[in-house]
Amino acid sequence: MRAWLAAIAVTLSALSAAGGTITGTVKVTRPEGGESGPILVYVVGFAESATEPDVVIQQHGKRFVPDLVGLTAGQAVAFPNGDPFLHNVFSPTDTRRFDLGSYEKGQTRSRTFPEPGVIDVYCNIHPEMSATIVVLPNRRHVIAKGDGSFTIEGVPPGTWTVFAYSRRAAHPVSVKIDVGNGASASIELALDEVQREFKHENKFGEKYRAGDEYRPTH
Amino acid sequence: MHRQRWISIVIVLVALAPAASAGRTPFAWSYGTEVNPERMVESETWISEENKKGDARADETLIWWGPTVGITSHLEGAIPIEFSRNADTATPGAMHLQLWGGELRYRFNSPDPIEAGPVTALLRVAAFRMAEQRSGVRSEADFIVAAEHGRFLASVDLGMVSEHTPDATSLEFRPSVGVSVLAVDQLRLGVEAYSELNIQGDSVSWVVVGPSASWTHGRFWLATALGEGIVNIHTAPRVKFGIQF
Repeated sequence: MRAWLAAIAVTLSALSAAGGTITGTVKVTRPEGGESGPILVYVVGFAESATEPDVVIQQHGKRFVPDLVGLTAGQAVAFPNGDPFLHNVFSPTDTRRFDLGSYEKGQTRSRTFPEPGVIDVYCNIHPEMSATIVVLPNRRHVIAKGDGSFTIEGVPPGTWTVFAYSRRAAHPVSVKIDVGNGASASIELALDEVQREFKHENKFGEKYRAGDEYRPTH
Repeated sequence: MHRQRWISIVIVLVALAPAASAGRTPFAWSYGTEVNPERMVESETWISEENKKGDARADETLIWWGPTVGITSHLEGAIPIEFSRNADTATPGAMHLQLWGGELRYRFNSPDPIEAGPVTALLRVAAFRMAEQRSGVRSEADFIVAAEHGRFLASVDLGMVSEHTPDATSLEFRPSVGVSVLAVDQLRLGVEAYSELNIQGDSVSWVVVGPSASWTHGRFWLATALGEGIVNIHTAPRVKFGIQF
């Protein structure tokens, strides 16, 4: 009897852990000549602890690659320098200020992000470098594929809101969705992107030196 | 800004985090536990007065200047020079170069204030050549522990200073303690106590306590304290500032 009860409990637990699946597509309207970038899709309304490994944002060709990542609160981001010159990664965002100092090719610095928030990341030496880290309260977030399709698995049963966001989006778009245990739900999201310049100040709150000003490449 | 407002609607934002690491100190007498980010260079200066000290009512003004550099994310070095002007009831005032040397400051914790946690510690060691006593050596060491809780910060600095010449060796214990509260963005107000206690030699022991303030603005930081004499001294104001490059 006890074995049966244990088996039932394990099965229920597994079903609960499996949750439902959200699939869909994000259709992006991009201005002519607009640069494409990652599209983050995430579910909000519940909290989960981070179990994923560190996320890596490369510094390569005076760019952060990728320039948008989604994290679960508690996850870390590693910033390896792949360029043959110094970079100084920093964030002026109040929710997670940091300054990694200047380090050379082959070296990596990392930071953890314990609280949800939207974190801007820049290089104090190269004003053209910018990235966004979106720290989320649960693990149900993915970067959409090149064709805009995505699959988010393991969503707990309930009514949640799904967001899609890119750095060049006018604003995030969202849709409410009911997720059943073991069920699959499908959604479509339409994201409008605009021409955006990621102008910013250096880590001292000053303009970059003359000659270093950001010049869009597109 | 528009983008952040939208996203903040759907995720929980948190209270302000401490500022990024730098080489600044939150108190004027105590050393801090922050170090410069790697490869960051800073010009650091402090100026202090020790007024009407001991039975001789001696007045002393000290000016310390040194470039500091972040050697690693935990270690910074400095090459300081120190000038002093001394005068007492029997001696007219004269300004002179007193010391030059080198020092290292090692932060035990992560340079990141969030990853470091609320309690941080730093060890400072320094060796100086005494300009007027060519065979003299001065050595200094400080162990600093700081604890931060919300807007409140407390710091204890256990400092030792020893001067050694062929004729004499002196030893002083220089403890200091400070508490402060973050009043507004980047401005701290508090109280700091500092003392120089003679263990060996003929120096005068003295103790001050008084209000302190510190402020950071971009690449500039400042810490100041107005020490009121408790033992063997009238006042001991001090200002410390740095500019990062």
